[in-house]
Amino acid sequence: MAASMRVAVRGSSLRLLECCSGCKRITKNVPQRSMSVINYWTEQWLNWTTFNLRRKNVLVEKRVEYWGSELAAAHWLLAHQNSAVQFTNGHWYAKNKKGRYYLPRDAVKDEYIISIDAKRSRITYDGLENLFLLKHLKYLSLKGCPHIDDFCLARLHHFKDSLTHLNISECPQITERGLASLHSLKKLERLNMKNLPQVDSPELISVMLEDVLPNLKLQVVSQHVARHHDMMDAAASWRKRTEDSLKQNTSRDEKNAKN
Amino acid sequence: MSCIAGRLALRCLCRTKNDSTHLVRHMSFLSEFQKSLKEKHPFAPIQFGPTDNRPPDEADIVIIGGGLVGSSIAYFLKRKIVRGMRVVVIERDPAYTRASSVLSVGGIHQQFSLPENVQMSMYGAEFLRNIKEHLTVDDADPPDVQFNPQGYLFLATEKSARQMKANYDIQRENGAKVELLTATKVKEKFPWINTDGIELASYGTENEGWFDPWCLLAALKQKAKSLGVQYVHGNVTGFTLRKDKIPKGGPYDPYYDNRIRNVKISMPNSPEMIPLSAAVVINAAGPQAGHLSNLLKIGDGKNEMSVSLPVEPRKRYVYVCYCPSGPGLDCPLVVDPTGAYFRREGLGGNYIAGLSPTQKEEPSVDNLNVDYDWLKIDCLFSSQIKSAWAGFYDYNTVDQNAIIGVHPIISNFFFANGFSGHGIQQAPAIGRAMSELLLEQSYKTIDLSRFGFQRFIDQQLLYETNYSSNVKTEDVNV
Repeated sequence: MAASMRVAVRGSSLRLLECCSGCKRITKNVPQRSMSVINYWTEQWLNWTTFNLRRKNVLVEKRVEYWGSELAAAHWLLAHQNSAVQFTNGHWYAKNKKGRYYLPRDAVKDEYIISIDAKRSRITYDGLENLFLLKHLKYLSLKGCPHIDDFCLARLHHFKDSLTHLNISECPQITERGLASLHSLKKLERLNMKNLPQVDSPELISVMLEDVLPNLKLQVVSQHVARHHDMMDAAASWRKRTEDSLKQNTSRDEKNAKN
Repeated sequence: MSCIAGRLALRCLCRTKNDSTHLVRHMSFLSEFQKSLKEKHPFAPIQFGPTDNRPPDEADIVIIGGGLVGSSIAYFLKRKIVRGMRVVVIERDPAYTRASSVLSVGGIHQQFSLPENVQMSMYGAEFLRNIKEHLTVDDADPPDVQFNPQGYLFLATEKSARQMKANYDIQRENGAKVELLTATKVKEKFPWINTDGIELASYGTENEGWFDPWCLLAALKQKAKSLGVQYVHGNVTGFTLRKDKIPKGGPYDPYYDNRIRNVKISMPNSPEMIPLSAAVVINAAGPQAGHLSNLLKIGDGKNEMSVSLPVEPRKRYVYVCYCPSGPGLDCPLVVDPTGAYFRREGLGGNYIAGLSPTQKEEPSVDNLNVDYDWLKIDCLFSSQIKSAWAGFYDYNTVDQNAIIGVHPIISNFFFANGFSGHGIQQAPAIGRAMSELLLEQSYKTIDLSRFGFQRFIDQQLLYETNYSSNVKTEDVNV
């Protein structure tokens, strides 16, 4: 995302410069680096955003030592990724409107994280390391996360024993190759892959995933199957109607012939 | 400002080794800010190279060979020093019709037995993951190498199971994400595999798979050009050497310093031969590396000059098969103990397969014609061969591992050859290692001093121990 943003910003500032054709400082064949103060500060801002992104996605071992694996992951998600977390007791924890969140002070035995709602968070490939110690994660929502790509989906194999519901809709960097690497999640029951801009044929991938994963039922496939059944039913009922009407016509003709 | 910096510094509790341009974890943003103020933005445009194909009169670093290894070295050199160093890459075929880089199957895996090989492949995978940050050129789309993170599955018989376990320990130590699976677990995970005779299998879960090497090559070349590297279309036909006598009284007394003075480039479609004066010459010529070093009479002299560069081209065939009832999405790149391998290609039931020959059956390297009867597929499924192609390995005939470093006699001639089928996996790491060696005088991240040319003189060869029973050390270099 940062790189694509950099492209967008540089492009627009170069076009701005091209407009100032009266400026003598700017040479005709202006290369990538130009002598613009705007360009300098936007590049510094971009450096800061990439630095911050990496900082937010570091796995801090001291945090894990202090809080234990479950609470450490919860702290990371709530504080740095602005997500919501649900424990086995059913309670959801998230930042409130003031930007504060409250978590239990000590780790409770047998209380695990079972669902994570990381919609539009800035989790990256390195950040997923924070979640690998969670052994009872069932529902994971990475809807609209801009940094989740094929490599990250390959990393989800750590949750192969527990993950049942996965939502990766609207992630701009996911392609079919990443979806193919979900074959290791053997317990997956529901997968939401709507609105993936780089996937051209979600139906084909859905069918192949349903082949490989035994418990998976995808709405795309079931929609198609239902539509297929509807079409077959409609065809059968049409055939029946025409046969009935043909029979009626023939019986009427016979009656007329008799009379 | 300073209190914010202090708070930032306190918050970052972790620290790893600093790669100066690619920051993963960093102590303080402000120190980088200050460094970048000095280095990154001198307010002057980059000098663009000439638009016709003439090489300059002199250059600092000349890289012979513009494939993946050559372009990677050029990129890593130029990204550290953008201005003030002239790097020229000489490529005899800009369309890359015979280049090994683009004819390869495109796999990357970390399942080696030498720790340096594992580390190089790990860095290769990391480079591909972060390729958008490394190789994006302004005002162009970020590059996409179409990486399939499917993993490699190496199968081993009883004989080689012990070797596989030993290699597994080395791989885990160096950070590779590899699992060992017994035959029953393999059958559970991949029910379509025939596990007769298989004792153990090693499956890579992350950072392994295959990608499109042409995309990587195009991205590296584009980025290198944008940083100021000049690509010259020409053929190197000779060198001019100079021999300086170091004067008496110094520590190397008496000592002759042999150096390359000029690289003679013959221009395409013309009888012209242009000498390019060079400070450093890097041999990244792929399969033709042996031929290039023969031009310098390496292998043709006394003592250390009698050892030649043991790299020669070896032809390998790759076949595309069609099998609609084959394994689906969970198909990794499966490597048989006999040396046969195959992987899924796309979603339409196509597979890419190949077989490494034994020593006696090496096909001739005069051309890139394919022998369609070579691959007798009776392994996992019946299929039909749709098409095939052939490519050359830059095969190190002695120990099938990379040759990196300076020549002991000709002190400005560097090698980056002999990858024996692993060139595309190791190209980013080789580029980084070469730039460290040239610009910082020693390897800083991965220590490749064992892989130098000196090992052929001292006979301390590095063998890669593999899992196959029939074929010797070379086999599964995919």
